[in-house]
Amino acid sequence: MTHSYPLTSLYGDYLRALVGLVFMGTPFYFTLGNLYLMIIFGALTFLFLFFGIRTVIRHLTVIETTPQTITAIGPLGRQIAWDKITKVDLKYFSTKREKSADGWMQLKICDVTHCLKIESNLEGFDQIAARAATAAFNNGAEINETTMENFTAMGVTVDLPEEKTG
Amino acid sequence: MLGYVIRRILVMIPTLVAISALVFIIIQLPPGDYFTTYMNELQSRGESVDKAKLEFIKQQYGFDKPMIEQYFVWLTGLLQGDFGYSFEFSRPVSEVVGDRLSLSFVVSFTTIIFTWVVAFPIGVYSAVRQYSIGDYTLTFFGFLGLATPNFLLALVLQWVAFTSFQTSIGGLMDPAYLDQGWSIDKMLSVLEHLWVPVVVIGTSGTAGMIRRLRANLLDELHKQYVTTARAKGLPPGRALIKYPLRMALNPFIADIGNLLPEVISGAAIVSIVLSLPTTGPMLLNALQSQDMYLAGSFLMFLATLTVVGTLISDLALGMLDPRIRLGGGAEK
Repeated sequence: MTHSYPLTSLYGDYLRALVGLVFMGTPFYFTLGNLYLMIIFGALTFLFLFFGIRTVIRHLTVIETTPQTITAIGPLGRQIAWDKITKVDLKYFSTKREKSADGWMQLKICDVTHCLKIESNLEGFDQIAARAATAAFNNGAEINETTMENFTAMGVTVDLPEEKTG
Repeated sequence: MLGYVIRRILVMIPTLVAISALVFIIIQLPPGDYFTTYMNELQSRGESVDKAKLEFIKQQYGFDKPMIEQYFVWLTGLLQGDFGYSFEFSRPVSEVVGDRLSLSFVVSFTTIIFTWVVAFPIGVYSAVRQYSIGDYTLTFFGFLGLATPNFLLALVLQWVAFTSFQTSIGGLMDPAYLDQGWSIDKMLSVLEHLWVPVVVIGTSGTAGMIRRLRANLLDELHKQYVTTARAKGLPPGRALIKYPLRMALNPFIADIGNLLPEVISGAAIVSIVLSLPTTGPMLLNALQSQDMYLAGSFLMFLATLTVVGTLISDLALGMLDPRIRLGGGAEK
């Protein structure tokens, strides 16, 4: 099964990268004589440029899942076997202080050598997250408390062995 | 995390533009300008004023242009590192502020360290040994610190420093070192004077922080997970440090947003009472004399530090306490 980032879900990020490049790049150009401001605006311009490139990479990437593996096909593509997963991290981000549902999630799946990051605007993100949780549970992979809570919030229940104390 | 940082930075842009507009409007609100005030002062002293020359200077600095145009000239200058010209000091704003910035930083940074070093152990002790004699004694001193006006404490400590240690009154160094370059003796003189403003400014902050840390830590210590951890035999020290203390630290981290501008602004009232050559009194003078570029640029600098500080505290808070309270599924 293949999953991709719908273009409509990436419009926002393209716009953010563009606005950031304009608002940071323009002052950067005009502050070439002032070292401190040049460093500040230069770093910010680079950050937005990097973000834009990352958005393009996500746009071109297709995630393929099979019963054995999850594969990112595209620039910086990589493959991880479900039974080789050593760590799963599910983070939730929100720019609102009250951490309401107005945010997005990021799933990080790692084996011994690689990590694969997927964001919640990917089609079929919930199924991939559920599959990753199951695989991580079966492998006894590292899952932190925050990730557990996020899985629970998504409706994915993971019963982990009781944590040792002392 | 990158997406989060990008969104937060983008939110900062309209915030800072709105602040800059507000700052500019507010410093322009009083009738007249620096030159009008200056002219009135000269006339009140019976001195003659060359009105043609004054008009020429006003034109030169763009005071005759519409406010919106003045604002954009100022804003464009800020973005290029040109903070404008201080009419009162007859020097560029960056030079005027720069002189005082280092001393403000020394005073404020030492105060923050003092506050944290004193408040942290006392707050933890008060929470862990709740209702003990030590807790009552420290709480009493905490309330005393909160209730004592800073300027009053400043006057008392100046007197103590003068009578007990023969430290000169006011300032951050002995008057003999004012126009000298930096030397070991001058630094020792600064250290000799520094403790008074640090204790004065730090006392109320320390007291407030002790109370907050104590209250937060008590909340955490009474939660079931701590009881469970203890019941399972987790050593008391580990049961305290592992989670409750970490959670109770959140207000400290959230405070970073306010910390950055505090480091630069200095406590204005205390600085005036103690005659400290910091930025606080300078800002007050600039506002009184309508030295608009000095006041405006400095306020803008403080606002930027506040916004950046908030971003840093949010990022740090996210790392320290990534607990999630999400109601539904992931948003697309």
